[in-house]
Amino acid sequence: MIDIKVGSPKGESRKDRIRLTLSGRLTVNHALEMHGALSEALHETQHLEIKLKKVEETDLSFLQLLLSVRKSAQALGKEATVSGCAEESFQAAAADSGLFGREHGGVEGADILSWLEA
Amino acid sequence: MKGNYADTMKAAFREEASELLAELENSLLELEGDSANHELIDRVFRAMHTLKGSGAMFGFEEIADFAHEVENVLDLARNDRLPVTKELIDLNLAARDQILDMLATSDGGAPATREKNDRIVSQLQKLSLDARMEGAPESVASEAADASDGTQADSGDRELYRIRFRPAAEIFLFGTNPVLLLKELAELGDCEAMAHTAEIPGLDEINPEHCYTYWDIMLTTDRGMNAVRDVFVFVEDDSELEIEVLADLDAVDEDITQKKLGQILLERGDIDEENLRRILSSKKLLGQVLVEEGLGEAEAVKSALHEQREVKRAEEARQSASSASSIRVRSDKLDALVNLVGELVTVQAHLSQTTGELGNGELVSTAEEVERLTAELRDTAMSLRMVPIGSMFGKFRRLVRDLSGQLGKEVELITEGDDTELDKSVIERLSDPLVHLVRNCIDHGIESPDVRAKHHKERAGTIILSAEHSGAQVLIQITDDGAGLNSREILTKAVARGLVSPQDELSEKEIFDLVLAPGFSTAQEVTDVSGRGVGMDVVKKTIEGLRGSLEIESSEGEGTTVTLKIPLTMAIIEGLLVKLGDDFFVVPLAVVRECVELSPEDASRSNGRRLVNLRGSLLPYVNLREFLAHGGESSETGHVVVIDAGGRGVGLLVDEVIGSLQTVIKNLGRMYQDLEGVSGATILGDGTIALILDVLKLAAIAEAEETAMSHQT
Repeated sequence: MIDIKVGSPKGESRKDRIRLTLSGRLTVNHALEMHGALSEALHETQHLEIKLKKVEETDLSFLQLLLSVRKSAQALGKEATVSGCAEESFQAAAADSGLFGREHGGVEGADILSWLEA
Repeated sequence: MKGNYADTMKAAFREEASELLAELENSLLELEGDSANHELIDRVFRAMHTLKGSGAMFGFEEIADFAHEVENVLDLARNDRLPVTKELIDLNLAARDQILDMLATSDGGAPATREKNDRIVSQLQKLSLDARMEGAPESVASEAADASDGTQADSGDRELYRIRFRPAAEIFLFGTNPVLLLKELAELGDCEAMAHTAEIPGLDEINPEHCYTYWDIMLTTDRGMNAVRDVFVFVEDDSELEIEVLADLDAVDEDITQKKLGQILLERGDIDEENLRRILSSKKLLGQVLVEEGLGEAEAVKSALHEQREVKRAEEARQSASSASSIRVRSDKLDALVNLVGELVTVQAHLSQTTGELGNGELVSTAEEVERLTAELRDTAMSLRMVPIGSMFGKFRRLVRDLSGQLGKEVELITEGDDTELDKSVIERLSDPLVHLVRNCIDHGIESPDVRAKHHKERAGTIILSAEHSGAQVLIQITDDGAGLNSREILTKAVARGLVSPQDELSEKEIFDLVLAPGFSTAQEVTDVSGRGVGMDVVKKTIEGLRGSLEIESSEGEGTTVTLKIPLTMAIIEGLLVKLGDDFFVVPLAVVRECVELSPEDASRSNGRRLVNLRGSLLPYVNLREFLAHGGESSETGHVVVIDAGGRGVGLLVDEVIGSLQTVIKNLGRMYQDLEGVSGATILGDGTIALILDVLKLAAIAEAEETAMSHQT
């Protein structure tokens, strides 16, 4: 199961900021669905805020999607932020994949670490 | 006799203990960043255990008792019954310092306090008690061993593997999770995977069900190649998989090849040969150029650097395991040997000269043979005193850790070229200036994490301490990525201190050099960290005392690099023998660019400066006869020895250039100690004395005098 909620913080228009809340199993089985939601939201808004909440499982495909969002946002001159990364399942997937973290991911990893908010 | 023997043994223990303490400190600092590394925990334990055993054997009971208490706690950590925390490392570092104090006490130093002893022991005991109360954490090592029961092949040599694993793009769709394979691999031994993510496209191009990530993995295991291959058995056909053994860590007689960064990238296919050759010929830093030009991803470079580090670590571990092949010799014995070789070189020069004059062919050829053997003996004797600069770099890790913590800054220290060898006496004299420079980086260079974040920099600053050989010199660089020097502020301060006048037009380099002027730093600015009564002027003086030079480059907001050029040795140098009238002088060959004959039509004067036309460009030169007030008839003809004075060319006009000379340096007596422009003397083959010129100093004095003269006119 995956749950995707799309909204904007009070007082802000969708054009300015969209908050996309992801919950459940963020895995390859739901990758197409997540990709659709993320693409649509990033095209529509200037600031895409991805919030992880009650995440049960994360895998490499989702971590790749986050990096893809970041790449696109940078190319479009937009802002993309991720919060809720302290969720245990996210931390475990990130550490196991050797993607993030100073020890493992090196330059890119350290850079991404500062991008992801706990 | 018995007393002497006991003294000798105690001295041997002191020597051994200081090495063990240095190793202990390094291992603890490494452990801080890699707390699960059992090899490091074992190394710390072994060092403490040896201190205990040797201490008791040689009558250092207090040290032995103290080390015993610390060892008990380390034993718990070794057996996974106590987690390796920052607190444990801090206490062990404090224990290490305490043992150092105890050693100094036994050597007649200030007494180490008993209270501190007890405090450290009771804190350590509390830690182990707490761990016991909470229940021991599951043993990772034993779990791994259990899991492998029945499947493990015969335990062979430990080997270091390089693995590149690039799964098929469709791997997710086949139902395989590549990350699980990495986890499986990690169960085989010590494993570090670095992911490459640069190929992940943006949202418009990405296929969210495809895998774009690939990995470079360094694995140390004793399970053999088959066990490693087995992990990938189900994906091997569709993936790109390269597994290579980089080193056999248990083979004592086999040297582990240290590869250069370019070679690793080439082997991995991250760069092609043509680009590598082009970048290497540009003499810029390979990694930097690759990333700048987009020829390689930052991750690939970082990953290759990681491999270099791992291989180096493996080599060090192997070397320490085979340390029985070296013997310990007192350094004063080596000094005596080098002195004797120095005498021999002098006598040999005399012999060659005399046989040449006698004209006996057989004698000449024997003398040439003696000359060849003497040169070999000289090189061997000099190499005995050479020690890797890494032995000094090691202590900076502790300095950086403690100081950055004290100042609330985050600083990472990277050392490069640790294997670069320098004469032991030079290394000893370099220590204080380097400590000062590193302190400066942390105190004045690197900004606080918040300030750095505001400037879009990494929160943690980086200090790179590097060393490399360059001819007969060693280049040592201290680079930080901090705030850099502010030339306006320096100039304002220098004007206020009366070091320069507001009207002076100075280049940026000249402004930076003001930092090195005596009186630039004042007591008001001295902080706990960088202010120890030593200013940059003292650093400069010490470096010049080593016949070296110091150069500062800085870019505001980006950082500062201090480059030290130090001669390899202080005992024997290659020199160029020149003549003024009947007197001989030696110019160190390391700074000589070329020699040219000066004819009157090539010489000219401008604003009181002497200039020589050198292939169409004008080069300032100093008339050495006038400068040294040597007497005799002054003329503007002769030979100009062009030297490299801190990147600029300066000429020295002499009467005659004789040729190169193996120069055994003799210190000048106390009377001549403060003589500027002369750094020593040497004895020539016929017994004549030649003064060794401190040419960099000469150039600086001449320039200052000319500047003063041009101001007067």
